[in-house]
Amino acid sequence: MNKLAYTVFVAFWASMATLFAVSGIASGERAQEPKTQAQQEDVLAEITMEELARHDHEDSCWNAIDGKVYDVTDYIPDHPTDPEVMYEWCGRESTEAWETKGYGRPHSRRAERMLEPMLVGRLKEK
Amino acid sequence: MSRGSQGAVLIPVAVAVWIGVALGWPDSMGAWYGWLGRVAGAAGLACMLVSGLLSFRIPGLDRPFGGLVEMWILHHRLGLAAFVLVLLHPPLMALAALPAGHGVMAQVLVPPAGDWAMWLGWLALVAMMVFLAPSFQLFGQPDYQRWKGIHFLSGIALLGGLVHTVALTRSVAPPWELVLWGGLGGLALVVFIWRATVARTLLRRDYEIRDCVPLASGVVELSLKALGKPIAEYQAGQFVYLTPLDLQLEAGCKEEHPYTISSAPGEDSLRIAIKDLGDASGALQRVQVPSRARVEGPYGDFFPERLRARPQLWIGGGIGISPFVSAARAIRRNDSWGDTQLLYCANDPSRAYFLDELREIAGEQAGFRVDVHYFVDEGSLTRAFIENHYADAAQRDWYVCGPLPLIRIVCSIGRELGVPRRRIHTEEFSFL
Repeated sequence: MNKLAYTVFVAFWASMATLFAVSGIASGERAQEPKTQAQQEDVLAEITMEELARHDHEDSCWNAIDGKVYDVTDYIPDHPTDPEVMYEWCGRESTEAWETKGYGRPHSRRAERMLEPMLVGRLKEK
Repeated sequence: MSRGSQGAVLIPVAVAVWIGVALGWPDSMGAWYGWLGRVAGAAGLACMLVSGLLSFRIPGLDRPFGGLVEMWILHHRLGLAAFVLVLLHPPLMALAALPAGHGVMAQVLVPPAGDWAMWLGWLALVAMMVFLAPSFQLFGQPDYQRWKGIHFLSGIALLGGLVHTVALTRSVAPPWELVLWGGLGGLALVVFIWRATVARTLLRRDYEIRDCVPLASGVVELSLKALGKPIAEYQAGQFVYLTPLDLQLEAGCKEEHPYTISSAPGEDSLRIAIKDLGDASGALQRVQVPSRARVEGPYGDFFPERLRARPQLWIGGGIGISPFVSAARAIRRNDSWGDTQLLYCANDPSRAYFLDELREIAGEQAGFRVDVHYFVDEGSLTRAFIENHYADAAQRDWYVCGPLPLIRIVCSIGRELGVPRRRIHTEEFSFL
């Protein structure tokens, strides 16, 4: 038997089971937490372009994507892209950047799911 | 490591560096997980693709890689690297999603139903585990033929992993992405189709087994004659895949297995020595003469031509004496070789087959000497035995063929005597 392959095989399933259990427990706890203001309202809060533009720096970075506004401030350090590139889009309509990020290709569905918890409102139409 | 093997290893290393640089240096723990996960996934897939490429098996083309045995060892090691790297990919990608919330991390582990690219990745990963588990003997030693069939199916995992990667990767610009994954994947697909379809028909030659000479209990030497076009000219130390077609065989009829050539290059007949090591080789001890067989080869590069003129120490044990028999017969036919001393390791005189002929050759050829080490009388092979018999052992190139414990002992003695690893040539058949 190849000991390295066996060790990695066992470690893989152990880590998968642990991550799954942790995410399950955390999801259960979160279900009891109060919802965010945006999530509490049946209709998403309307955010004007002026308000969006105020969140144009690294301490508060909002992006408007497909008519929805997301607060990505806390996620920027964990994003694979250079933070400086991300900061350029703070406080702006960023759908183009979202759709063409990967050499003209849109973000993955996994990325879409990662964006959902950052939703803060709906961009007010002019 | 041969130049071909170095080139093969360089490909996944280059892919890992390329993807790593393209992603940029991470700034946070979450970004680090993502960086490591993506690099591990890309490098794992590259290892698997190069490993697949190395299974092309065409006589002669294995020599730039140091012979088919070396190629298969590299194929196995790259497969192991792929196995490890690909298993690192999902937990790292899950941890990379953690900053966005536990729910998002859970969706990496169990993607929504419509996310086919993620599900394909998971299916490919599970398929890889199922199809490669026998190669790493995770659940015991598999049956050789069953293992070959299962192992071939790992191409499915490879294809799934490739489609998953192409659908999700955003690391490099599209033209280069096409060059990288399209090029490697396309070549691997060609090799897969080649092996699955025409390779056997084109490479196997018709032979007739004309003689079956018992050498000892459970050991015979078969003599074969080509019925049409023979296999390409072979060198001492090479091996062939033999597929016996004798329908009366108790086992192994129409199954291919590798056997070392024991005849000298240029002989009229192709001779191969076969020891009863399993059902198929056991049944061949009683093969009908004459009967038909198919032969594919030759493969291997045990005695690289560029090294033949150097002084050599050959150490053979059991059926591992076969390549040395072929080389000794070549010396008898006036092939040019450096000064050679052969140490034949056998349990006792009854297991020292070919010894009389080897001693005859040593009597005729000034630059060829034979010594014998019987385990039953002298115990395990020791450094003292080598030093006492071969004063200049450290200056010679060592060639070792035999059971794994013997190879390990000899390599250990060689290291103690200061013989560089590159000058110790070993050959071990394992799942060929």
